[in-house]
Amino acid sequence: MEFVFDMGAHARFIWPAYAAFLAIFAGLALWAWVTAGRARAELEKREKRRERRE
Amino acid sequence: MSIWRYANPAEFMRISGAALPLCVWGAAIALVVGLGWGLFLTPLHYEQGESARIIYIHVPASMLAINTYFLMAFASIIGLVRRHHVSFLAAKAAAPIGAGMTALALVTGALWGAPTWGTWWVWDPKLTSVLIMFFFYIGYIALWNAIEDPEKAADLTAVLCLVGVVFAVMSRYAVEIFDGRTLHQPASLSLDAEENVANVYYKPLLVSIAGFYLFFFALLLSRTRTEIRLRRARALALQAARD
Repeated sequence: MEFVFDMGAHARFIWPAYAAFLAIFAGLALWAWVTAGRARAELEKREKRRERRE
Repeated sequence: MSIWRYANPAEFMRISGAALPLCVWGAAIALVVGLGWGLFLTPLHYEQGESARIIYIHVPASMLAINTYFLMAFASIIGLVRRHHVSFLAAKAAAPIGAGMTALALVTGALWGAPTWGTWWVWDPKLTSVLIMFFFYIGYIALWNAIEDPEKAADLTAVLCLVGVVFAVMSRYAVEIFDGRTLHQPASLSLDAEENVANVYYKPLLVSIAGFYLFFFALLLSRTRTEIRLRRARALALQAARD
């Protein structure tokens, strides 16, 4: 197996494809992480309020 | 034991909480190995040259784009027939992931098409069906956000999702249906080993596909858990307003 880093004339197509992959995957992961944190905080707040009322 | 017990939000939260870290770590390892192997360690393709290295992103993204839509349609049918909220919420959670995968498939397809076909885009049945499917994803997400009543939103988006299934089917089978009249090549993977890409490209491709699917399941579990929490928070807010 030979390690290839030089993508030759097709580098201008290959690197943007992998950059698009990184951007979309990072975006989706970040979005899932941020919304999960917000939802957890919102639910905790509502549950604490309910406990205080009871 | 019935499969429907997983439609119970408490049961779903318990099981998904245990499965989520496994999916995250599995995805990270498979993506690094599969993409690193495919990008840096596979030989030059005799016909397509270096541009064939885009296969490790384009094929898994395209598979997920189509299969996520089928999964949403399946969850929508279950939601409509059995009135399980987790099904509707899973479909809702899957939509942005499917839209992201479809966008990635379209972008990488254009980047692969330019050096191999000599064009970024053609109004080919396969490519056009994928583009329309992408618009259905966007429409589905927009409809969920446009309707305030979650029950009504769940029903209407499920119907919209089922209407769009025809484009998911076309995206999958256009090459076979329009035999010889599409620019797009047949599927790179098949149950018939002779139709697969050569072994040297096939193995890293399988690892990359596993990574994409594990990443998808990690996001799907995380987003469905988030939707369940938001639904519970909304119910508590309504209860507080009534008291």
